[in-house]
Amino acid sequence: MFRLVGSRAVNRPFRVCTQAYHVAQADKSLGTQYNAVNEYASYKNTIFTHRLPESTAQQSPLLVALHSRLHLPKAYTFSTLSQALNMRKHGGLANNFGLSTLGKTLLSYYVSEYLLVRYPRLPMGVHNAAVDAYMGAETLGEMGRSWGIEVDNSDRLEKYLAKEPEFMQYGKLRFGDNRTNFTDREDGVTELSEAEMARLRNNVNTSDETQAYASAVRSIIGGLYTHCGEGATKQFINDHVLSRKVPLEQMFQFSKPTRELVRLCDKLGFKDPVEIRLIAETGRLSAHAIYVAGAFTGGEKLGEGIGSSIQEAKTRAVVNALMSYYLYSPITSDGNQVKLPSDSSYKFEGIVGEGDVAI
Amino acid sequence: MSIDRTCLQARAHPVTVENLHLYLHKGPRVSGLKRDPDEVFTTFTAHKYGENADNLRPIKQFLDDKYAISDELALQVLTHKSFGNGIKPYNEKLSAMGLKVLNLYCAKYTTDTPTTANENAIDGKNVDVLGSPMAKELAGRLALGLFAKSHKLNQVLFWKSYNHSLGFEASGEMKVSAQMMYALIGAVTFTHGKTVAEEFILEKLMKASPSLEEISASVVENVNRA
Repeated sequence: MFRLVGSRAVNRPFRVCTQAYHVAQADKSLGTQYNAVNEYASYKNTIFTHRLPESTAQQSPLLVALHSRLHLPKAYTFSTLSQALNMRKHGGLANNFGLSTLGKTLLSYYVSEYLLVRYPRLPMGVHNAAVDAYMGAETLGEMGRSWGIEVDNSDRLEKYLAKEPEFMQYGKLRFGDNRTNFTDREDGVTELSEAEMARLRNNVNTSDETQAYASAVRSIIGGLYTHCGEGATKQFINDHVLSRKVPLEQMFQFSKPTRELVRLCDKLGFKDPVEIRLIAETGRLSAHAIYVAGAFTGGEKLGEGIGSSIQEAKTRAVVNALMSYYLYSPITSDGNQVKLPSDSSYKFEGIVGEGDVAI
Repeated sequence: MSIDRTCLQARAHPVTVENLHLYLHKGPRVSGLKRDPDEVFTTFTAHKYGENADNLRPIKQFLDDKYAISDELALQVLTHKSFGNGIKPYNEKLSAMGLKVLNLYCAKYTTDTPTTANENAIDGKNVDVLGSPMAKELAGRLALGLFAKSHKLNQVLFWKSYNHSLGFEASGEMKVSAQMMYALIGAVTFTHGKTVAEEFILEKLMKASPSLEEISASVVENVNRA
């Protein structure tokens, strides 16, 4: 039906799954212990020894600056903010794995809810691409950089020689290992890590640093939930994530637009067949002819397009009709945008997407 | 110039919709022939597609009046993309919503542990539980599929497998049933809002017998034992 621009789709040979479902496996490197699987209070990752004490975290100028730059509420502790910036599993301090997971869950609910209610008819592929554009690693990584989070990329020796106070590192983004690297580095040549190589094989070109920034942003959102509850988190996501403009109309690419429109009208149960009619033309015999075509079903005009050939005008009319269907956004009877299910005094006024058509 | 008489005679009887004879094909698909809707829109369990009481009874009973959804939406919940080549409204968008609501609910449900002894918990929220198999499987496909099956919610489902004779997992029944469950949560969310949907999950899924939690726990423990 459509292909995304720069699509990452890879043709995989069809495989018959003998084992249809793989139950999630525990991440052994976290050393999680628990009494019983559903005794959630008893879960504990044994590789961490402690969280950074609040009194230490308060002395980190970077943490204080970040806290006030993001206008985080007072209840949000500096120690959680520091944990949100720590991706290292080893080293004794609690890392941001749990916070990041929590943040991701919250983000994906609020982003999906927004798209599903405000753009109910987006085809699933475009919907997923839009979710990715709002909360994918690249976007969140950019956001983390714009928040002024610094990366801790100096090793212990360099820190010692620079007489850097230990509080500084608690306010920096810590990821990867910080062992001293004695090999000479060539300018302009970057060595990819194992994880980056693996991602590259899947056509994903995000660096470890971008992933780390994204994880930090998710964790900060997760941390906000733990200290200030869901209302504050929703507001934060609205302000920082959903306020960004995502050009949905540029995410479409149709391979067989006319066939898709015919199928769509069939699905919607329109009685009259789809017809594409020439509305106006000028200069047919000149070098610069212009045609205006319209896609109709009975007396209803679905879309209109202009082109320098009849074929172009026809295709533009059909694509225009499809786009105006897919990008529909419902409004309430008084002309406002419909409420989201998480809003207070929610009333269902929009529509539910009925699914794409197969062509 | 001569006039073709046969051509003129043919035009004397215009073809109208009333006297148009349409051949509707039954049986295996033949390229170019229009299939009989009666056959296409009937499931392999001989349920005919439509908003009739028989089709909607299982999920209507499950929902009660408190979480009631419209018949139209209920039918959409039961319809999978595979049914009738996706020409009827199906539950993809509903289940996208339901999955996110359930994931968020489960994340809050598992981490909200004020009594935890874990000193790394943040404000009484034990985030160490996230990422564990139990936390992941609680909103997982297998658990939801088994839930739908054990509560007999998937008796009427409008879907088509590539091979209906295969088992619960291999035929895709598990996946389709789970998607129906997500769609059910999604439909409640769309109709009543997120707060009511969370009450619905707590009341109808977590407190049911067997509950979603018990099913997920057995799924995880079976793997641990194996």
